[in-house]
Amino acid sequence: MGSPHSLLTADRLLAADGLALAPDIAELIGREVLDRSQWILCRGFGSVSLAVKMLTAATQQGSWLAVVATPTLGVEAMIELGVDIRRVIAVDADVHTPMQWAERVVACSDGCDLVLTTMPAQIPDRIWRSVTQRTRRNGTVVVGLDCAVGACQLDRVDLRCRVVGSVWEGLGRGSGRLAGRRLQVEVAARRLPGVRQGQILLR
Amino acid sequence: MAMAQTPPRNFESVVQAVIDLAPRCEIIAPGWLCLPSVGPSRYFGGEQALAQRLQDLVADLIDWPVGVGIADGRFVSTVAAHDAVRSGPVVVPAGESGQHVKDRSLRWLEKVGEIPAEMIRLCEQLGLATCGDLAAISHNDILGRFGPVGSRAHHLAAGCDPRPVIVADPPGSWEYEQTLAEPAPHLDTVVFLAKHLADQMWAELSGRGRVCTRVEITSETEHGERSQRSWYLGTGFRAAQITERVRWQLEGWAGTGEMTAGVNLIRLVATEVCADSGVQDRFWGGRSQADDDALRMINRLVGIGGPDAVRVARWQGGRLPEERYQWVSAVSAEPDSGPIKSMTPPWPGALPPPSPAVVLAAAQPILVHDVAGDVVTVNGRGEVSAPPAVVVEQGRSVQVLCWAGPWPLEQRWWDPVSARRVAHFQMLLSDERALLAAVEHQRWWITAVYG
Repeated sequence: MGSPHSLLTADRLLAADGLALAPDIAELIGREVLDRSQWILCRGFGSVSLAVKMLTAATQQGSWLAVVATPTLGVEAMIELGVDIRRVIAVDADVHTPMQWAERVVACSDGCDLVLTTMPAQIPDRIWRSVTQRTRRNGTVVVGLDCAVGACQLDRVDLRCRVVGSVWEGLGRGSGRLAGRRLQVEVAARRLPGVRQGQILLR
Repeated sequence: MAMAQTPPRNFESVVQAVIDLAPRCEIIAPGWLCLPSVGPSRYFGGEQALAQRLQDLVADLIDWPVGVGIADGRFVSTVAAHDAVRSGPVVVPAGESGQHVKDRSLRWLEKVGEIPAEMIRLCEQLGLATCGDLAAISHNDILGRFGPVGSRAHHLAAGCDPRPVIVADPPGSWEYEQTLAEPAPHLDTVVFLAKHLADQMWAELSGRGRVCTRVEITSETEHGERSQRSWYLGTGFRAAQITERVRWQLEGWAGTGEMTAGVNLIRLVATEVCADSGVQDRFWGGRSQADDDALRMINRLVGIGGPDAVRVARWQGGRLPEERYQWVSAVSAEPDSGPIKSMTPPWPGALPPPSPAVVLAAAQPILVHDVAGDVVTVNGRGEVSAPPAVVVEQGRSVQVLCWAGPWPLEQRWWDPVSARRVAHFQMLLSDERALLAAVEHQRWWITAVYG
C-alpha cells in the first residue's frame, strides 16, 4: 500500500467527481465536466447570463446553487436558461464588507456545490486565501460576477471568462424584440498559456 | 452488549481483539461496538465473566475509559456500557432492560438511539421526561402522533431493540464488488471505488423502498490479507455514510501495519435490509445527499443570520420582471408545496422571453432623446413622439442602435392608488448593452438589463 495517510476526507472524496456541464458551455471552456473546487470569473456585458448558463446542467443533476450578494439576478432568466430553481437559494451579503462576504460564501459552500456571487472590489489577501482554501476543500464551484476586481485576484482565479462582444438577434429599429444573442467569449485558464476564443448562442 | 468511550485512534486493534473473542461483532461508530452475547457468554462461563473479560482485554489495549454493558438490545446495553465506565461491567438481566432505562432522560434516546432531537424536544414539551414515561404511553398513540420514528423510540424506551443483533448468516443478495486488475496504490482510490459501489447499492435499494441498516465491508490486498467488518446504523445507511465507514475501516486497517500490499478487492454486502420507514424528511419532493447537505446549511445560516438570511424563489405572477417572482424566506417556504409555479397561467401583456438576467431593485432614472435632442414622449394612444436615438445615463450619452416598443401596460386601472400606466421599450445600445426601459408619466427609467 502506498501512503495511507494520503487518504481523502469525505469532502475531498466528493470533490473528485466533476459536475455536469451543458454541451455548448463544455465546448466553450474546453472541458467535459465542470471541475469542482474551482473559482471562475465572468466579466463583460452578457456575463451574468453566461455565468448562469454554466451552472444550469449541474442544478438539473441535483446540485444546489447559492446566489450570494446578487439580489438583482433575474429568477425568470435563470429558469429560461435551464436552472432548476427548486435548488436555488439567495443569500444576502454586503460586498463592501469582504469579511462578511467571505463568511457567507464559505457557509454556502458547506452545503451547496455551486455558488454564484458578485465579487467585492477589493479582497484583502488574508481573506482571499481563507475563502478560496475553504471552498476548495468543500469542492464547491464559485462563479464570481463582474466588478472591479483587482488584477492580482484576477490572476488567482482558475478560469477567467470575458464576454468581448455580443450580437443580438430579433431587434430592429422600432420593430421586433430581443430574441437571442451570440456571445463572443475569451476564456483563459490559470496555469495554461494562451486565451481560448469561442462563441455561444443564448436564447 | 456495547462498549463505549473509546477513542477512535487505535480502535482497530480493539475491534481485532474483540473479533478474536466473538466473531459476530458489529461496529456502530469508532469507539462503539455491539456483539451478541449469547454464544460467547456460554463459552466464557456466563455474562458477567464475558463482560469482565472484554473489559480487561480492551483496557489493556487503550488508555481511555472503557465500559462493557450487557442487556437486551443495542440501546439499553449502550446505556449500561456508559454506566460501566465508572462502575465496572454492568449486566442487566434478561427482560429487565425496560426497568434499567426507566428513569433515564429521553436525551439518551437522542444520544445513542438515533432518535431525532426534534422529537425528543416535543416529548419533553408534552411532559415526558424519562424513557419510562414514554414507554408507559400506548404504542399506538405514539405511532399515530410521531409515525415510524415514534414507534422506534417507544420500542427503545421500553427496552426492546426492534432489530436485534443477528446471529445467523443472512442471504447475501445485495452484494457489490469491485476487483482491481492492478492493486490500488492509494487508499483514496479504493474509497473512491467504494463510493461508486455505495451509490449503486443505495440507488437500487431505495428504488425498491428499502434501506440497508447493516453493511459488511470487505477488502483484500494482493497478498491475501483481508479486513472484514460489519457496520450498523439503525436509521439506514445513505451512500455517503457507507463511504465514510469504508474510509474508517481502511484507515484503521492501514494503521495496524497489517497491509503489506495494495488493495485489489473491495466488497460491500447489505447484510440487513429493511423497509425504508422514511426517517429522513423530504424536502420539496427531492431527497438526496445534496438536498440534506443544503438543508443543513440553510438551517445553520438561518441560525446565524435570522429567518431572512436565506431566501428561495416563489412564483407570484405578474407581467413585469420585478413582479413575477419574489424571494421569500426559506424558513416560511412550505416544504413539499413546490415553491415554483413557472410560466403558467399565461399573463397576457407579459414581456416575451428571454427575460433580463439583471432586474434592478430600484429603477434607475435616465433621459431618452431623439435625433434632434428632444425628450422622447409616449402619448395616451401608445404612440412615440420620435424614434429614440440617445440614452443619457448619469450624464453619459450612449447611442441607441436598435429598439422596440412602446409596449403599453395598464395595470389595476380600477384602483386609483395602485393604478399604473407604463410603456416598455427594449433598447440595444452602442456599448453592446441591452436594456429594458420604462416610461411612466413621461419619465424614463431603466428597470432591467439583459446582462
